[in-house]
Amino acid sequence: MKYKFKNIKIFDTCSSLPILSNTICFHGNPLDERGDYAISLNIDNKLINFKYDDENFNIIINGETFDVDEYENEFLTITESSIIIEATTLSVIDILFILKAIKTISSIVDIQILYIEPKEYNFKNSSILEYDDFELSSKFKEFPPVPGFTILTQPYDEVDEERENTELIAFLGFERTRLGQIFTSDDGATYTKFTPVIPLPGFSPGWENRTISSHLKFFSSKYVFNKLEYVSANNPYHAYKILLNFSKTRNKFRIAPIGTKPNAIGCAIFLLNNDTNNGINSGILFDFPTKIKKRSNGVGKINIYMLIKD
Amino acid sequence: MAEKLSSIFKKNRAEEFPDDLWNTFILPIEYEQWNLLENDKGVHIRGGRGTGKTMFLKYHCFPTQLSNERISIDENDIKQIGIYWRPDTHFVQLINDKYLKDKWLSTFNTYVGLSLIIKFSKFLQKLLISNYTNTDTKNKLKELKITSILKEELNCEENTLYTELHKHCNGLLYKLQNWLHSPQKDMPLAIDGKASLYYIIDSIKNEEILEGTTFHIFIDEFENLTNDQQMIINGWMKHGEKPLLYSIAYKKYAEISINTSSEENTQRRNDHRIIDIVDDVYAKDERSFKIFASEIIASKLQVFLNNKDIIPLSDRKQLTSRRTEPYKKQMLDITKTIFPEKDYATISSDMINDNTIFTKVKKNIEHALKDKNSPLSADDFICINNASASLVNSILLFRTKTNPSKLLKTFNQYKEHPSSRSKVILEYKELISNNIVAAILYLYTYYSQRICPIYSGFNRFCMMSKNNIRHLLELCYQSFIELESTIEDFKQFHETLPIVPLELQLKAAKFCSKQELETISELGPYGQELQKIANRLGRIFHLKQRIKTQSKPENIHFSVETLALDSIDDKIKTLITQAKIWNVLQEYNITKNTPNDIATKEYMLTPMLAPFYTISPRKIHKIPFSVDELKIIFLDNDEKFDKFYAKLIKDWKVEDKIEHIQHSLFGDLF
Amino acid sequence: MYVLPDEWEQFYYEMCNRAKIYIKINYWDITEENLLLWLKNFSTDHEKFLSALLIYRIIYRNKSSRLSMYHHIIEIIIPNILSQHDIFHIDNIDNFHSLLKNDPWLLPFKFSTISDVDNSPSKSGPQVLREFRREGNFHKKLETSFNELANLDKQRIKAIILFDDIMGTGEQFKTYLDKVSPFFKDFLFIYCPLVAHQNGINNVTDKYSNVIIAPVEIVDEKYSFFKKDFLPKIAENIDLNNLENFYIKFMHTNTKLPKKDYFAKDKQSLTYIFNLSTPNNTLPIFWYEEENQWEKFFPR
Repeated sequence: MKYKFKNIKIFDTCSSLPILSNTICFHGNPLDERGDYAISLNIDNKLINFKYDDENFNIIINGETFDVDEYENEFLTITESSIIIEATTLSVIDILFILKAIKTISSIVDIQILYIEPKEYNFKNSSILEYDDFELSSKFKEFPPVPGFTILTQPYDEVDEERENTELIAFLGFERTRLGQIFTSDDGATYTKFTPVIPLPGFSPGWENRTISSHLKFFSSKYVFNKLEYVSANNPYHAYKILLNFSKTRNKFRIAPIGTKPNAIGCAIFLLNNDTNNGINSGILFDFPTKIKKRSNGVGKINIYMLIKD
Repeated sequence: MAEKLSSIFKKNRAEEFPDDLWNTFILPIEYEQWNLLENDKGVHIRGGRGTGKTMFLKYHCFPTQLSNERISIDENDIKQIGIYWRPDTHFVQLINDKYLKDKWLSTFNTYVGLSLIIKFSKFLQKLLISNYTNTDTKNKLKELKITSILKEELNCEENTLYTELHKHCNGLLYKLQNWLHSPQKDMPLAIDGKASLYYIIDSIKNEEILEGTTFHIFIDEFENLTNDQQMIINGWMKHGEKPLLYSIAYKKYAEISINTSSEENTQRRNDHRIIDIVDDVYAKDERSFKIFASEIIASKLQVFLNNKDIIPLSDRKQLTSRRTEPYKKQMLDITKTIFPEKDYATISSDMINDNTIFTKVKKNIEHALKDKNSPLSADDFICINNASASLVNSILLFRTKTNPSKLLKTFNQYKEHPSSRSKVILEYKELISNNIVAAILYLYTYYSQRICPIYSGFNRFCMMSKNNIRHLLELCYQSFIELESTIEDFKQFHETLPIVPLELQLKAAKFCSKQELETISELGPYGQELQKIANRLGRIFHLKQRIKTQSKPENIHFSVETLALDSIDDKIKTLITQAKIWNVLQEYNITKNTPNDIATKEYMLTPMLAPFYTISPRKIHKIPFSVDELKIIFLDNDEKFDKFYAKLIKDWKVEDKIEHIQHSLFGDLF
Repeated sequence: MYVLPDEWEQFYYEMCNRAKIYIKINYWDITEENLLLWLKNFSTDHEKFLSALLIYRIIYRNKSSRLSMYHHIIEIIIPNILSQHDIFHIDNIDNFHSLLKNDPWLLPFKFSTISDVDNSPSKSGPQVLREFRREGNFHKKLETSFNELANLDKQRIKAIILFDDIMGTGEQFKTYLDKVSPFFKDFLFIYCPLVAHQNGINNVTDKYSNVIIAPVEIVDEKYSFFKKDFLPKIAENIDLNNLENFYIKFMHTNTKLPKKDYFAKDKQSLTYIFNLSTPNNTLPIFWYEEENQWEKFFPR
C-alpha cells in the first residue's frame, strides 16, 4: 500500500476552502497567527492533538502517552473514511507517525493535509545582532534518531573496496545553522556526497537567493557537495519525486527535511512508501526545533493536499 | 600543473585524510611519551574540535600501521595493534531504555560487538595484504575458518573465513537496524560484545597466529554515547587487560560518565591515564605549539616547493634530531619569514606618521588637556621619533591620576635619555609597554574600515589560535588565498618561500574571525545561543576598548565568583559547559593567593574573535561580572541586554554613540 | 553622486566572491571569465558598488529551476484550473503524468505558445515548450500551434495551455489574444508564463473573457532595482534618486543605448535573468555588449 497525491490546491483567500467537515483533524500546538487560524478552520471537526516526543521516544495523543509500538492501536477506533492532518501546527515527524498509523487502517481512504504559508518572513531575526525572546530550547541532542526511520551508517573504510556510501540530501530553508549542525556533529565521518535541494520557485520570487547565499559555504568539496536540485516550495509531490529519482541510484542516504513544510511532507510520503522491503535504505535527520520564535507574520496562502491510498 | 598553495592548506580536518596516515602524520616531538600503544591499561584521550585528536588516534591503528607504504613489517611491529571505532552517534542514541525497555543492553552489546568484530576481521584482511614478513602466518590466516561456536553465534555459513567475517557481520548490522524499526519482534541475534571479541582473539591465538599481540580498541566520540552506554564501556575499560584493552576518546570538557554500571551511584575517581592532545601531546607550552605548527606548515610547503630539505616528520627515528635547538629555531624562522610581523613600536610609528591617526591623537590630547585645564600644548606630548610613548601619552592624559606637567617632564626626560635607569624613566617605560597595545587598539576602534595591525605575524596568529591547530591552519589558508589573489604568476612560488604581506595577513585574520563567529551557531545544539553570547561579550569587550583612559586595558575575559557560580541557573551552567566544549570560552580556575581572596573562575572569549571586535587577543585584564550580569548576558532578551549595554556605556563614560563594528552585512533585508 | 556607504568595499568583495561561487556550483550558467570581464566595466568606487548591488539583486533562472517551475505548472496550476472550470478532473498526479505521456487523446487540452502569431523574433516560448516536453515526457500530440487551432476538434479540446518565459507588459500576449479571439468561444486560454509582472497582468485581466493568466511567479514594482524593498541593508541610507541619476550618467557614458531604454521596457527595471536570454524588462546593463567597449554579462 502506498500513498499517492491526488491533488494539490493553493488558495489565496480563505473563502470557500474545500476543507472536509465532520471528520477528525490531527493538529499540534499553534505557535502563531497562522497556527491559530488553521485550527479555527477546523472548528466543525473533532480535534486530536498529536505529538511525537523526541526525548522520551513516545507519542502523546490528546495528552495521553503511548509507546511508539502501541500508539497505532489508538487509530483503530477511527471510523471516518477521510481525515485531516493540520500540517501548519505539526512537525514533519508528527505527520510521519500519523500517516504511518493510517497506512494500516484500510477504512481511511482520503487524507487531507492542510498547510498555511507564512505571509512574510521577518528576516531581521537571522542577524546575529538581533534576537527575539526565545526560550533556551529543550533539545535532546542535536538530530535525535526517529524510531522506524533511522538508518545505521558506517564510515568510509579503506581496507576493502566495498565502500559504504551514505549520502545526504537536504531540503533547505533560510537558516543555515541547521545544516551547519549536521555537518559539525558528523565532522566528515559519514556522508560521501551532499545534495542540497533549493526551494525554487520559493514562496516569493527571489527568496531562493537567500537560501543559496546563506548556505554557500556548504556548496564546496569540503562538504562533499554534489549539485543543486530545485523543488517548488509548496509542491510536496515534486519533493517526493525528487527523492524517488534520487533513490534509484543510491544505496543508502539520509534525508534532512529542514526546508519548507510542504517539502517535508513530500519527504515523509517518500519514507512511508519506500523502505528496505523495496530495496531502499533511507532514514530521516531532523532537529526538532522547539524555539518559540515568532519568525513569520500573518496568514499567507492556504495549501490543501489530498492523499489517497493505492 | 602546479597545485595552488592554498589548496594544500585546505585539507585541515582529520576525516579529510584517509585512514592510512603512515607517511603523512606529523609526529609530535615528544611522541615517545605519548605512544598510545605502549599503555598497559585503557586510557582517556581528550581533545576538542580541531585539535587533531582523531588523526592522532588513527595514526595508532592498523590501516596506518599496516600501510602499504611500510616496506617491511616484522613481529615487533605487530605486537601492539590499534583498532579505531567511531560509533554512529546518531543511530546509537536509539539504543536506550525508553524505546527498547530492557532489550537496550543486549542491543547495545550486539551493536558494539558486531562493529568491533567487523573491524577485527578487516584488520586480519589488511594483515594479509600488507608487507608483514611472516608468510607462514599469512598463509595460515588466508585459509583460516571461523570456529563452529562462532558460526553458530553469528549464524554464518559453513567455511566462513575470519578475513571475510566482516561481510557477514555487515549484513547482521543491517538486520539489527531493521529490527530496530519494530523492536517488539524478536531480536535477530544477540551477542555479548566484549566476550565475542575476546573469544575471536583467543581463537586466533590458539592457531598460533598473533600470539604476542595486544589489541587496543579506541572508541572515539565517547561523549555522544548515552550515559548508560558510557557506563557499559567504562566497565570494559576497567576490566580490560591484555590482550584486549579499551580506550576512549572525547572532547575536552564534555561531561562523560566515569562510572561503571555497577557503581552507578558512587563517586568514583578516574584512575585511567588522561592524555590531553593539546596540553600534553603537542602544546604543553606556547613555544611547543609554535614549533609544532611551524613544522606542519614547513612540511606542507615542502610539498609545494619540491624541496627535500625538511626532516621526515613521520619518522620515529628522526625525533631526536627534531628536538635540537637549532632545528627548532630553523622551523620558527621559516614561519616568521612567511608571516612577518610588525612589532608594536613599528606599528606605533606607522600610526604617528599617518595623518588621520596623528590628527586624532592630537585632538585627543587637546581634549584631555582641556579637561584638566592645563595650558600645555598637545604638540609637546607627541614626538614622531617616540611614537609608542606619544600614543600612550594620549590615553594617560585622560586618567585622573595623571598630572600633565609631570607627564610632560617625564616624557622630555625619556626623549633625552631613553636608556636611563632612573626610577622615573623605568616606570614610564613600563607604562608604555603595558599600555601600547591598548592605545593602538583604542585608536583603531575609530576606523572600522581599517584592520588593526596587531593581528598579523606568525606569533600573533598562534596567539589567536590558542593552541588549536585547525584555527591556525585556517589562518594560513586564508592568508595564502589573499596572496594568490594578488599574484599573477604562480610559478614564482615554486622557487622561494612565499611571504604574505601584512595587509593580506590582516585581511585573512579579519575574515577568519568573522567566519569563526558565524560558525559558532553551528556548534552543538546550543550553537545559536553560544553565538549570541559570544557576540554580546565581544561587544562588551569592544566597548571597554573604547574607553579613553584605557585603565585596566586589553579585556577579553571576565570573572565570576566560584561560589556564586555553583548556585547559578542550570541553563547558564549548561551554556558555559557547551562554550567550553566548543572552544568559545576557555575556563581558568584562579587559585587564591591569600585566604581573604575570593575564589573566582575566569572565562576568556576565544581570541579568534579578537580581529572582528578589535579587541586584544591576549589575556590581560578581566571584567568581573556579578551573577545577575551574567544572567543578562547569557539568558536575557535583546531588550534587557541593550539596557545593560547602555548602562555600561554610561558607567564607562564611552562617548561615541555609533558602534563601529562592521555589521551592515548581516541581517540583509531580503 | 550617491553617497557611498562606509563598508562598500567589503560588500563589493563579498558579492564578487558570491558570484564566483554561483558560477562554480552551476547556479549561474556563465563562466568566471565572463564575470571578471563584466566587472572590469566598472572602475570607480561608486561604479563598483553599483555593480555589487546589481549582483546582489539578480534573480536567476537556469534550466533546472525552470524545470522545477514546470512541475509546479503541471502538478498544481493546470489541474486546479481545469478542475475549477470543469474541463477535466485528474484522478491523481501520477496518473495525470501518465496520461500526458501515453494517452494525450484522453486529455481535453493542448499546449502551445504565443510566439508564432507573427514573425516576432522572440523564440523563447517554443524554447520553454521544448524543455518542458523533454522534462515532462509528454506526448508530442499535445502540442499545437496557432495555425492549427482552427482544425482542432472543438468537441474534445476545451483548453489551450500557453507556455512562455516572461510576461512583462502583456503587449505580446495581447497581440496573440487579438489573433485568437475568434476562438474564445471554443477554448479556454490558460497562459502560464514562468514569471509575470503585475503591470502586464493588469493590462490583460478583465479585458478578455475566457482567458486565465496563471504565472508561476509574479513580480511587481517592488522588484524594480531602484526600489528600496529588496536592496541590502548596506544600501538603506542611499538616496534612490541619486542612484538613478548615477546610473543614467553611467549608461550614457558607457553605452550607446538610447536613454529611453535605460530602465528597460515599461520602466520595470527588473533584475530577472534567464540563462539563455535576458528579458526586455530587465535592466540592459545586464545584457549590453559592445565590442572593445563593454563586456557583456548575460546573453541577450
